[in-house]
Amino acid sequence: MDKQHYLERLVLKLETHVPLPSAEREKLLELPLTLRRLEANHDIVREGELTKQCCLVAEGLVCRYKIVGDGARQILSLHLPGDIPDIHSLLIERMDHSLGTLTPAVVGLIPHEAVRALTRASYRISEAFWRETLIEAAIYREWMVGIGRRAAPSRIAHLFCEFITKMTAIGLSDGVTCDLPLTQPEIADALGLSTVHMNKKLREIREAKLIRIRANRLTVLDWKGLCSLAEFDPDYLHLQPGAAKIESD
Amino acid sequence: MPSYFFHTRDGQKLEIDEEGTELPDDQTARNAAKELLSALNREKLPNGDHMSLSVIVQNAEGAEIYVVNLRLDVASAGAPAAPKREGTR
Repeated sequence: MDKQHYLERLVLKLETHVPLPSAEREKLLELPLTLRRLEANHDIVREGELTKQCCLVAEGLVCRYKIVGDGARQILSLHLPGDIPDIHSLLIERMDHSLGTLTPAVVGLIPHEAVRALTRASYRISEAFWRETLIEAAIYREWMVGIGRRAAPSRIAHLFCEFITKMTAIGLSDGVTCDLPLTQPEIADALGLSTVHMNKKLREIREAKLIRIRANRLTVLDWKGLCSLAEFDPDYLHLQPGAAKIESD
Repeated sequence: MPSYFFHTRDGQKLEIDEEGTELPDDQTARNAAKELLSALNREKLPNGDHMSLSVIVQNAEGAEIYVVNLRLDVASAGAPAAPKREGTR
């Protein structure tokens, strides 16, 4: 796949939230991109490091994470193709968390200078990136509610609802089935659960015939039931109408 | 990595773990059992004032290697309510 294709993913992602004028779209497609192919579990940028470039997820799954004193990892967010998870580094250059791959991935590195020039030249593009970071904050709020207040089965169901909704919005799912290249310990690290607890509750969700997971593919068997267990309302994702329409039966 | 099975007992209800979880050693399984019990306890807390939860850890050879129990009883102390302290809000 070429650079153009990956930049189109960025445009597609931004446009899941708001349509862009064609002039702005063209400018985004001209961003300079250095592609890097990475193994799974590879750090892209670590906590404490200074960075002069942003990272576009081109293929694969990337996460933000922090390691606590006893070595436990908290995954803070999951990033799909089209995301620039460290866009904030444009304004705050020292990383306060780490960014790494969960699966083999292709990332496109974009120098800060190029993004800065673009945002200065176009208020619309500035706003689009600003909106991205605001929506990310909304996702963090939802995760905070989950980790703080939701019981484990609801937390797990919520992750599946969010994941397939986001995958559908960027055209990587039909709303029923999608790749889910996460191991159970990784899901546990994202939800603040122990692996054993996670395994037990995931089994309950599967036995209730809400989902099926087979060979790293997630299939939703009962969308209404899953949303109800998760208390999932996609409003916080602020998707354009039609960006991720999942049938409710 | 060896597989460990974490069966749970909630009162009289026994739930058998048929799939198991791969963990590096017995010590990790022991800690995982304690962690699981405290998480299950937190989940079930609103369900009444009496609770008896156990996690039974079985290794890949079928031997039960640990049993972790947790019992919770809430009772009224039967004493009159403590008088209001001066100066506190």
